[in-house]
Amino acid sequence: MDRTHDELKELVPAYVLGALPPDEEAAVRAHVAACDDCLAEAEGLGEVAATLVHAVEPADLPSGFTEAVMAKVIPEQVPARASQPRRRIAAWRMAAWVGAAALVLGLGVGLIDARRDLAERERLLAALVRGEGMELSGSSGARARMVPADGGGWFVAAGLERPPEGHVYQLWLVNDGRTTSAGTFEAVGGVVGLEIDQPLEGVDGVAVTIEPDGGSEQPTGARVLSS
Amino acid sequence: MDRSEDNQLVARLLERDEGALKELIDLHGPMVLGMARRILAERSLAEEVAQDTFVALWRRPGAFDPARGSLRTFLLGVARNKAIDLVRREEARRRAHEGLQQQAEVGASVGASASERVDEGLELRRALAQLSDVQREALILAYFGGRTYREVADELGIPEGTAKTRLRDGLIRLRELLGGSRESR
Repeated sequence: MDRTHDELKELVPAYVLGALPPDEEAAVRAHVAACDDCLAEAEGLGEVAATLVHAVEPADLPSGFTEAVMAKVIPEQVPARASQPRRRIAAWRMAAWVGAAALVLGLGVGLIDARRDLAERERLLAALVRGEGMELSGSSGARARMVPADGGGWFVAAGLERPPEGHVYQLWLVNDGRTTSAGTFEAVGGVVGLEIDQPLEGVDGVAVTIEPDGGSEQPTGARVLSS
Repeated sequence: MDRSEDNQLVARLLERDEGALKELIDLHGPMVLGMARRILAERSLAEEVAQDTFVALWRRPGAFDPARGSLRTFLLGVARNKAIDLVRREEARRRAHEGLQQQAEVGASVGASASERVDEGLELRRALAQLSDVQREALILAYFGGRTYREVADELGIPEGTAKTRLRDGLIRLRELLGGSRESR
């Protein structure tokens, strides 16, 4: 940090191009903040450097490009479910589930008033209270339960922290040694309820891992819950 | 570029309108992919960076501040940062190397292919073509290659002081060439 003004000013062009090693970048940033002369230099050259983005020529998008982006963004809105028309019902069910999970797992959150699917909600609640289905536990006190229902099931979890930036939780079903994804989700408020619409018959293991956004083909990240 | 159209589409993104994202991909995808391809020689990596640029826009549309420049400039900046992060990992860097050398050469012969885009891109590439070869080479290595000035010196076999001077002279010359005709960003 005992560089002279002149030495630091010489580094301003590289600074605005993002071409400084981290230690020098920190030194120049600190100096620019304090020195009017270098600030003016950084602003002037920075404006020119910013125009370099336009040196790019467009490239034809390969087929499937838009679909690939949409596939990366849609799963996070509709956990464990991709088809749009059913989203509202799924969201409502999730809300009811969050209430149910919170009640059962003792988080002290009130049960959300249900106007529809009452029978289903009661069935789930009863199953949770009776401890049916498969129980999962994790290292940091997280708990979850997978409860089979007609043609699929319900997955409720509590005590999950938000996944790290750029990551999601992914739910895995193990069936006869084969691991398949049952979707990705983010734990908002630590509690999550998902409807699983693939059959759970023969499933002998359930796990949740942390995966990069968009999920993975097979588990790669840390296991936060397992049966 | 129609900025009000961009701004309307971004407003729709805030309402989680997937159609708006598709329209934005149609509008800006080719340039975003072009940026990623320019930095990353490997096609599949470049496509992933371009996809992730739009995923990032979808997640945080608020990160785009219309007061600070056009959406296209913003998206190209995001794509560049993502691509350079990759380049800075050793393996990707090696793969990119060959492509970059070529770009430093082709950078000189511009103007013919882009008649449909009479915009800042054409103007900039014309200006780049007028830099001296050594200035252009240094700028391209630093800006599109993600190299530090020390690495630029190393790769070009010149002293670090010379690399610093070339970057500075290149930027100043570019500013002169672009002159007062530039939009104020």
